Amino acid sequence: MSDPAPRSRSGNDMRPPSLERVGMPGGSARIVLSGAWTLRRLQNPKRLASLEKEIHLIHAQDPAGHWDLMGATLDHFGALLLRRGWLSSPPVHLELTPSQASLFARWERIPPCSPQKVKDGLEVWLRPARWISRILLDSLALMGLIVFLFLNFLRQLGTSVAKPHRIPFQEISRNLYQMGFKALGIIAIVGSLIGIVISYLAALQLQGFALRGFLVFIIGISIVRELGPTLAAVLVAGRSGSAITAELGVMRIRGEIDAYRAMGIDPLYRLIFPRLVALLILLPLLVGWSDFFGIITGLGAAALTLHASFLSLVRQLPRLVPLFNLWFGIIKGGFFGLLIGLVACRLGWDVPPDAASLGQETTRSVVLSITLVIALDALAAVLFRRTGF
Amino acid sequence: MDPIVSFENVEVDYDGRPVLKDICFEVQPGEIVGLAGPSGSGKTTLLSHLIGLKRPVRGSIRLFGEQLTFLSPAAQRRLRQRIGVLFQGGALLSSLNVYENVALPLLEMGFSDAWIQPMVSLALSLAGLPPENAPRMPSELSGGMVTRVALARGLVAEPELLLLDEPTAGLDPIVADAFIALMGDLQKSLGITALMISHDLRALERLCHRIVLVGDGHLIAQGQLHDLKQKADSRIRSFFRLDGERAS
Repeated sequence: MSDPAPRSRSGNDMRPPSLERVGMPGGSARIVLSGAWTLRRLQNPKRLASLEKEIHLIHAQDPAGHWDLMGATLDHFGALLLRRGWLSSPPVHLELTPSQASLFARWERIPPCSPQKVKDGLEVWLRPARWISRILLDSLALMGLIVFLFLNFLRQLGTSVAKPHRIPFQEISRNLYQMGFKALGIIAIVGSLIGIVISYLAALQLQGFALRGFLVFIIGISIVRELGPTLAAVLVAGRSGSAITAELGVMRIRGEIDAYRAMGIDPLYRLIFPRLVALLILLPLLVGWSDFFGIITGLGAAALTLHASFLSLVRQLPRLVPLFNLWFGIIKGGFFGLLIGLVACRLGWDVPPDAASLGQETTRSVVLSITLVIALDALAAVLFRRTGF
Repeated sequence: MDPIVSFENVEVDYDGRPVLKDICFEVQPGEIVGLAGPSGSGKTTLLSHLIGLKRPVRGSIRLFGEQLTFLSPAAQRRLRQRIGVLFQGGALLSSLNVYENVALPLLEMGFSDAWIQPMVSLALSLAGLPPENAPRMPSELSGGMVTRVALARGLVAEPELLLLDEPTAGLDPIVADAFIALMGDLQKSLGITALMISHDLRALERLCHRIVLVGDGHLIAQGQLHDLKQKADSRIRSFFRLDGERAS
């Protein structure tokens, strides 16, 4: 490597950029530039605009003026300012150092660029149609892939029964702990609060009607049949569904999923199967957990409001709310768990390799999981409307 | 001439573990200095200290004549605006397109779009990127292009010092050679001052006026590559593969 090249611009020049107009005997003026005409010295927007205007005025008034830049420190930005002031038509008499001349020469060769893709008229008109069709196609593709993942899960379940030694027990156990055990606290708190809310709202409406049994029925049926499973599912979707999408997304971005494939290991079996199994097991358990706290606090609050014995209310519960409803809620929880897992895994599986997409897919995973859980819940409510009463 | 960068008896650590001791070297204006050494020898940590992201345990680091340790956060920010950094792997912001990535330093300095647009065009051109790449997202670019965009982002605010962290890492030899040639051209035409961390012997040989070699927790040697190659130190000979050994 040769010796260091001489610098064409200097950060040591602390003088502000200035411009002096000196009259010459022949009539035309001599414009002498001094100081640092550099990006850092021209950072003030007002100063920048005033200099541009001043250069423009001087150049317009006296096109034959002599511009002397020899005493100024110039960088590309300073050269750009002068070019803009001269409206890209440099003065006829211009005194420059060779390095300054190279700056101006470089600007001559720069092709403009645009932050946006240039679109033709037809493309602008077609944009809404494309947008709608893309959403429809994406949704169809997503549903198709979720169904594929579900069928694959069933196949892997069959394989696991045939070859139990291959089941990734450690991964399943880790997921049960992360998604189940660690969620016990929050589910107990939310379940309890919901029990209290229902109890107080219903008690307020039924006061004076001597309908104690009806209050027990409302608390029991709403919690074990609807609110318990839905609440547990919403909390798991928000807490664990998002985590699954983010975790798989990062693994995708870091190439870990490809590494599994390269080693001849099926990543679907190692990464998705344990999560789906864990969710299938733990969601019914969490529904039971949520039901328990909801019922206890709901009946407790009812006992306080109605001045009744808590135990007498508890004893009424199995008679008023048939056991079918509890099992219905718990089984529904299993389906919710599977649905949350399928959506979260699917969206994390193909995350585009950038930070923004990871965030978008994680949000999408939570929103889609909760929407599908509520839709499935509504479907079950309609299909089984005559059962369990 | 005052040095642009000056390390004086600097000791740095990483997570409380001492990494380098008694580091003394300077970078003069218009000079490209290579910072070389085995993996894990603390080169990138040293760069983090120079940017002011970390504080040295001992010694002083001067940047543009100012001692970093005593500067307020605002003064450090102003000083950083005079530096262009090309991070390892490019570190482009994935949610912004090429144009927005390159424009970011100027936007932060308060320039309007009317000034930013030509400066971005210039930076892309200097980095050898055709303007039609401006609306593309980082995920659509090859490794070589990411490095060029990162270089354009480093150059856009007319830095007085360019810091390059492994600019050729992960690039194939042809793309790496093209990048080295580009940097050589920029050095000739703009007189760039740069501190470049690199393992790439070709990059060190073709671009750097001087090389600072670190390892074993301290500065092993510094000087022109030709002079370093004459030394008998086995670590130097091993790094430059003078005894048929591979540098780690």
